[in-house]
Amino acid sequence: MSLNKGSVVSIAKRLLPGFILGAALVVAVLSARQSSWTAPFQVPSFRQQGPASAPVLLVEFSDFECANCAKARIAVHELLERQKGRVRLQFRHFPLKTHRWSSMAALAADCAGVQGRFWEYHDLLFENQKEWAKADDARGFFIEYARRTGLDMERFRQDLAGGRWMPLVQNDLEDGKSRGVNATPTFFIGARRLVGESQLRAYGDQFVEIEGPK
Amino acid sequence: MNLRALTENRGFPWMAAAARVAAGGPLAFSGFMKLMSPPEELALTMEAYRILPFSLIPPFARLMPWGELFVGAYLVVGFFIRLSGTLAAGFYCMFLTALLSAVVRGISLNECGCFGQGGPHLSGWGAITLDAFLLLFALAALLDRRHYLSLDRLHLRQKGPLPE
Repeated sequence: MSLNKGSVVSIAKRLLPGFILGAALVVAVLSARQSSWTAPFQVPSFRQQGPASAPVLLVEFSDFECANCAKARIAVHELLERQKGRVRLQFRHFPLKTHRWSSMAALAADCAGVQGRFWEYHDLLFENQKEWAKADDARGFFIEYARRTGLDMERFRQDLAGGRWMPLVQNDLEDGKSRGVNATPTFFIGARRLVGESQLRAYGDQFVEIEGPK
Repeated sequence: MNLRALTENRGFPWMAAAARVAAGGPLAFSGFMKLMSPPEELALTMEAYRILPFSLIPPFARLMPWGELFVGAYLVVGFFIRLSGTLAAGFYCMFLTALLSAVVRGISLNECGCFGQGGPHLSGWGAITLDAFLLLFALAALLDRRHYLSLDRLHLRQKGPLPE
């Protein structure tokens, strides 16, 4: 089939508005999209696991009241075991607004963290999530977990009531937002993002291999 | 209801133009809002429906919002209305099928993921109702032959007189 010059011009005229609109849409989306955040993560050392010299950094944005985060805890643990010595985990708080007690749980975990018991407290919060997340007042549970973890109770109570470490939680939240985090758990392996337990299980090792030393 | 009598009514082309905007606008908005969130978050939402194989979800989550944006925007401005209208109706049929299948299988959808993370959050039945209306609008836009306020009409006008 041959096209004469007139029909080519006619087809071009017909398609041109669509191309212009399409190009405008692509430009609009790309300019409105949040840019990737590339500055180094600043995280208290008590919320990190694995050797400081590990070649791959796994950053987890998590919410203690989120059921998917509780499930993902096992997947994170298994990944760290499989990739022993190659991965350093940084735990970041991302308490969701829809979860009533998640901010306070994050604060309580950091109050335990400054006493060197972050991971024990973290495990207790996730293991007993159903118990405290639905409570009318979860503070009693947080204090009970602190006692079970063997913390200095006087100091824990003061830090929790005064919200002393809340700026650490807020810092994580802002940091997460600046990276375009909206859902938990969100993981970053290097610059690669994974959301949810199943994505971590499916692609976690592969991304560690890609991000690690060649 | 006599469909032919309805479409030949003098007011129908204007209603069809409004229906085009009503069907295309939300589709374009939904695509745009999904594109504002990372595709991995949309992939997580899609996982909850348990319809697509896991390996197909990431590419689908990357491409589908662009499709929604383009088809919705083209339908609004009336660019290849038959094609964009058919594709928009196809999108709404696909969403309805996914939502209804989730409801039938007893999958609890607290959030349908229709507008990504930033837009309005709808439950399963809320989203089904909305999509059913939007599908009707897309079909109404397809029934019209006069294409008021559209790029298609502008193009046809350059070729000769148009039916009123």
